[in-house]
Amino acid sequence: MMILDKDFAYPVYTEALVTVEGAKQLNSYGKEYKDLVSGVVTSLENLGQDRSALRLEEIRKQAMDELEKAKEDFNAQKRHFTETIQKAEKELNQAQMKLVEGEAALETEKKNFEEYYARTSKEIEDAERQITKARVEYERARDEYNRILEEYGGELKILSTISGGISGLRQEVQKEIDSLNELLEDPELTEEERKSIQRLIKLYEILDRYIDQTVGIVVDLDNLIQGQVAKAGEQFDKAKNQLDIQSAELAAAKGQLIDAKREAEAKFAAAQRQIREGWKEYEKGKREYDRQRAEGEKKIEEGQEKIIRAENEIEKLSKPQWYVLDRSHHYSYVDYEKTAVQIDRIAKIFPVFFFIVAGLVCLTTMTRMVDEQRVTIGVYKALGYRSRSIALKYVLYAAVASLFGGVLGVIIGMRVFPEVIYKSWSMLYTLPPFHTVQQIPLMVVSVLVGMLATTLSALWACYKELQEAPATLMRPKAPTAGRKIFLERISMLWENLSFSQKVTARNMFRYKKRFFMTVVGVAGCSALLLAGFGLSDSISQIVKKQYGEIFIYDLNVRYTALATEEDKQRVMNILNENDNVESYLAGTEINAKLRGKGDDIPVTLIIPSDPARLREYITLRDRNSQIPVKISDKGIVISEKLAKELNAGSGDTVELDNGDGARKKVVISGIAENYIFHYAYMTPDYYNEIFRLNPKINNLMVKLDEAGTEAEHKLGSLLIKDEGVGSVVYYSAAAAYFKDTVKILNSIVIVIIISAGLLALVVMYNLTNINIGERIREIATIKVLGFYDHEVSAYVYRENMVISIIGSIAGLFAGTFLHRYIMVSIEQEEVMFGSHIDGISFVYSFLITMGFVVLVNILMYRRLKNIPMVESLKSVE
Amino acid sequence: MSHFIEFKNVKKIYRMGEVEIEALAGIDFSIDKGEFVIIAGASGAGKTTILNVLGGMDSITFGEIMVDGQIISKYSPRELTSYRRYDVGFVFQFYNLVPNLTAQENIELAAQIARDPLDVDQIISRVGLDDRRMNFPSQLSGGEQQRVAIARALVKNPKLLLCDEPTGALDYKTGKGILKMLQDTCRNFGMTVIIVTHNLALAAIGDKVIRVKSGRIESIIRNRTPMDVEKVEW
Repeated sequence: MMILDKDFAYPVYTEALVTVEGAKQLNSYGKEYKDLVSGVVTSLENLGQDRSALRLEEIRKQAMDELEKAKEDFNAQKRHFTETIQKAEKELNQAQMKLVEGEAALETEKKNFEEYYARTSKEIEDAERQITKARVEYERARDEYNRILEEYGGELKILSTISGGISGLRQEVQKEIDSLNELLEDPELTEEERKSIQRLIKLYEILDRYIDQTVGIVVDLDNLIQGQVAKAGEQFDKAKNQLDIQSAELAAAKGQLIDAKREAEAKFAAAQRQIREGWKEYEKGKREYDRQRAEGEKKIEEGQEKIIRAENEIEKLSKPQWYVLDRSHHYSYVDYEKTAVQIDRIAKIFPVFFFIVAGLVCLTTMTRMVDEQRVTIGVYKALGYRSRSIALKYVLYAAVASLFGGVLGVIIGMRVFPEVIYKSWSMLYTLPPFHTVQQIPLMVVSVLVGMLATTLSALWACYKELQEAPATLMRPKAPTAGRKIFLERISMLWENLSFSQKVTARNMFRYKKRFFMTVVGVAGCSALLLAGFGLSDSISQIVKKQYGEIFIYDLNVRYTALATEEDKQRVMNILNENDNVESYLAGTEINAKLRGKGDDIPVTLIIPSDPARLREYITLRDRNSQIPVKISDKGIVISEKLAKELNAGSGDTVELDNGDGARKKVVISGIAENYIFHYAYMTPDYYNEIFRLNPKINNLMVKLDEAGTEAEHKLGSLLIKDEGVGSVVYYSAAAAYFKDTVKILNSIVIVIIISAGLLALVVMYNLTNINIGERIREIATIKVLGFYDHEVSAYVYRENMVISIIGSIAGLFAGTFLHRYIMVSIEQEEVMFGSHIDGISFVYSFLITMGFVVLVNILMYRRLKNIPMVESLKSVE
Repeated sequence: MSHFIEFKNVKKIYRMGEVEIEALAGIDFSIDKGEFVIIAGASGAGKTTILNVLGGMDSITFGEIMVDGQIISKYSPRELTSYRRYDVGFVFQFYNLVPNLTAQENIELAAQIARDPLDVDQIISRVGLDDRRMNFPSQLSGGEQQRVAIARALVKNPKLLLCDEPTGALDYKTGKGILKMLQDTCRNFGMTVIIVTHNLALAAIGDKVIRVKSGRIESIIRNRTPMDVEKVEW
C-alpha cells in the first residue's frame, strides 16, 4: 500500500520513526542494544517534555474552539428543533381541536335535525290526525246536513210557496193601492170618500208594509235558509277542498321531510367521513410528529452525550504524552521475548533435573564399571601401582568418554533443539532465517559439567575401592552383611508378612545406596513425565475451559464504530433470519484499562444489554467451588488472573478507564474463572452510575445451533459483508489459534518425555546390573537350591519393583510440584495456565515409568537366566 | 540290583574357543543308597565337574547318569531344576548363605520350595543352633555357618546330599565337627552323602572312596570299616 503525501489530512506529524545509529548490528534483546537505545530515548524524552507543554496548549485551544462551535451548533439545532417541534405541536393541536369541534358541530347538527325531524314528523302526524279528524267531522257534518236537508226540504218548499203567496198578496195589495190611488185621482169624490179611500190606502200601505215586512221576513227566512244550505254546501265543498289541499300539502310536507332526512343523512355521512379522514390524517401527523420528535430528542441526547464526552476528553487533556517507544513497546517484540523467556525458564528448570538424573547415570555407570574392574584394580594394587595412577586410568577413561559424549550431545543438541523450537515458532511469528549463534561458553560449560559429573563419579567409585587392601579387592565384593531392618521391630506387622515379603523387605533396605539411587532415578523419570504430560494437560485444558465452558457462545460480532441504529437492526435481522442462530445478546465491549496499585492493565470490559441473560453466553464462576458469580449493579466482576495482576480482591476498589478517557473508581464485586486474556464485566446500570453515560451497544454475542468451523464461517462471511459489521470472531478459530501457540510447548513436552524415558532406562539398567553383579553368588546359590527361573527373577525383581513403585509414586508427588513450578514460571501476563493435571496423566506417567522398569527387567532376565550355577562354587579366597 | 546312582561312560567336554577340554573323559561308577561316599582328587581332576553334573547344575556331553532310577542326564533344564529342588541337598565350601537372611530364614528359604520339608525347628536343633537361629551369617562363625548350610540342605528332605569341600574353609577342629555331623546324618538317617574333597586324608571315613585323576576314575575303593571322624587326622 502506498499513501501519497497529499493524502495525509492530519495537520501535524504524530509519529517519527527513529533509527539509532549503530544499533542495527547489536542483538536487540541484548544489554548493549538496550543501553545504546535508552540513551537516545532519554534525550528524546527530554525534548518531549518541552514539546508536550506547547502542544497541550495548542490542542486545548483548538479543542475548546471546536467544542464551543459544536456547542453553538448543537444549541442552534436544539433551538431549531424545539421551535419546529413546538410549531408542529401547535398545528397538531389545532387540527385536533378543529376535528373535535367539527365532531361536536356535527353532533349538534345531527341532534337539531333529529329534533326538527321529530317535531316536524309529529306536526305532520298531528296534522294528519287533525285532517283525519276534520274529515270525520266533515263526513259527520255532511251526513247531518244531508239528513237535515232531507228532513227539512219540504218545509223549505212550503216556505217558498208562502213567500210566493205573500208576494202575490202584496202584488194584489199594490194593485188595490194603485186602484185606490186611481180613485183618489177621481175629483168627484167627496172628502169623505177621499178620506176613506185615503185611509183605505193607508191601510193598504200598512198592509203592504206588513206584507213587505213579512215577505222580507219570509224572503229573509227563505234566503236565510236557502243561503244557509247553499252556504253549507259551499262550505262543505270548500272544507273538502281545503281538506284535500291540506292533505296534499301534508303529503308534500311528508315527502319533503323524507327528502330532507335523506339529504341530511347523506350530508352527515359525508361530514362523518370527512372527520374520520381528518382524524386519520391527524394520527398520521401525530405519528410523524412523535417519530421526528423522538429522533430529534435522540439526536439531541446523542449530541449532548458527545458534548459530555468531548468535555470529559478536554478535561482529561493532560500534557500530551510524548511517547518514545523503543522496541520494548512493540507487542510482537515483547510477546516474542516473553515466549523466549518462557522457553528460557523451562530450559533452566529441566536441565537441573536432567543434570541430577544424568549425574545419577554417571555415578551408577562408573560405580558399575569400577565394580567390574575390581579384581583388576586389586591386581594393579598388588603389583605396586599407586592408587593415584590406578584411579587416573578410570578417571581418564571417564573423562574421555564423557568428553566424546558431551561433544556429540552438544552437536546434536545444538542442531536439533533450536531447529524444533524455531519450526514451532514459525507457526506463530514470521521469523527471519534461522541464524545459529555458536554458544561457545554454553557448549563448554555443558561439556564440562558432564565431564565433571562423570569423572567425579568415577573418582568417587575408585576411591572407595582403592581404600581396600589388594587381597580383599581380588576377591569378589563381599555382600553387604545382613541386618535387622526397622520393620522387624514392628513385630505385629513383620510376623504377618509372608516369607518372600520378608525377604523383599529386607533386601530393599539392604543396599541403601542403591535403594536411594533407584528411587531418585525412577522418581525423576516419573516426575519429568508427569510434568511433561501436565504441561500439555494444563495448556489444552485452558483452551477447553476457556472456549468450551466459559465462553459458551460461538461468534462475537462487533459493529463498526460508525454503525447506526438501522445498521444494527439490519445486522440483527440477518441473525433473526438465519436458521442456525440459536440466540444472540447485544452488549458493549470496551477496550478499557484497570489500575490497582501498579500499572494500567488493558482489559476487555463487557457490558451485556441484558445482564440476566449473560450466563447463557459467558459462564462466570468461581474456579475452585464452581459456584456462579453474579454481576450486579454494585460492582464489576473481573477475571481471576486480572485480580492477581491487580493484586486486588472482592470488595477492593480499582480505577477503571473506559477507553474514552474517563477514569473512575469502581468496586470489585466478584472474581471469575478465566484463562486467556483479561475480562471485566459490569451491568449497564452500574456503568451509567459510574460514567453518567449509557454504554453504546457495539457487539453481539451469538450462539449457534450447530457450531463448527463451516457453519460459523458461513454465517460469518454473510455478516462481514454488511457494512455495519466491523469484525466477526469465531471462537472455534480463536481456540485453534491458541492451540497453535501451545504447540510450541507441546514439542518440548515430547522432548521431555523421550529424555525422561531414556534416563530412566539407563539408570535402571545400570542399577539392576550392579545389583545382579553384586549378588551373583547368591543368585547362583538359590538356583542350585532349585528355584525355577521365574522364581529367581521374582526373587531379584520383587524388591526392584517395589522400589520402583515407591520411586514412581514419589515421582508423581515431585512431578506435581515440578509441574506447578513450571506452570508458574512460564505463565504470561494475560494467560492463566492453572496447574491442572488430568488423572489419566498420573496413570500414564506411572505406567510408562513402570514400563521402563519392566523393560529393563526383561532385558536383564536373560542375564539372570545365564548366570552359571558354578558361580556358587567359586572360592571366596 | 540297580544302584541308587550310576554313572555310565560320562564325558564332559568344555569348548573354549577352538580348544576342547575334556573335563570328564568317560567315567563309570555307582553309589548305593545310604552310602557315605568320598570323591577325592587333585585340583582340576574333574571331581567338581562330577559334583556339578550329579547335582544337576551342568549337563554332560556324553554318557548317562541315573539317580534313583531316573536318567537325569536326559533332563531338560526345567526338569533339572525340579531335580535339584526336590532330590538334592547342597553343602558348599563357602556355605553360600544368603547374607541378608538370618540362620532360620536361610533354612526357611529352602524349606518353602520343598515338596515335603522337614520341620525347621527340629533341623535347627539337630545342627545345634537353637540359640543362633536369629543371627545373620555375618554374626556366625564359619562352623556355625556351615551347619546352617547343612540344615538348609537337609530341610528339603533330599534323596542325596552333595558336599563340596565342606571343611575347606574351616579349621581342623571345626571341620571335624562338620564331617561328624555329615557322617551321623548318613548313619542315623540313611541319607546318601557324597563329599567332594582334595583332602585324601578324608578317604578313610568314607564307605566308598572314588579317586579321580585327569577326568578319569583312578580307583574305586569300598571301605569295609570306615573310620570314625574323630579318629581321622590330617
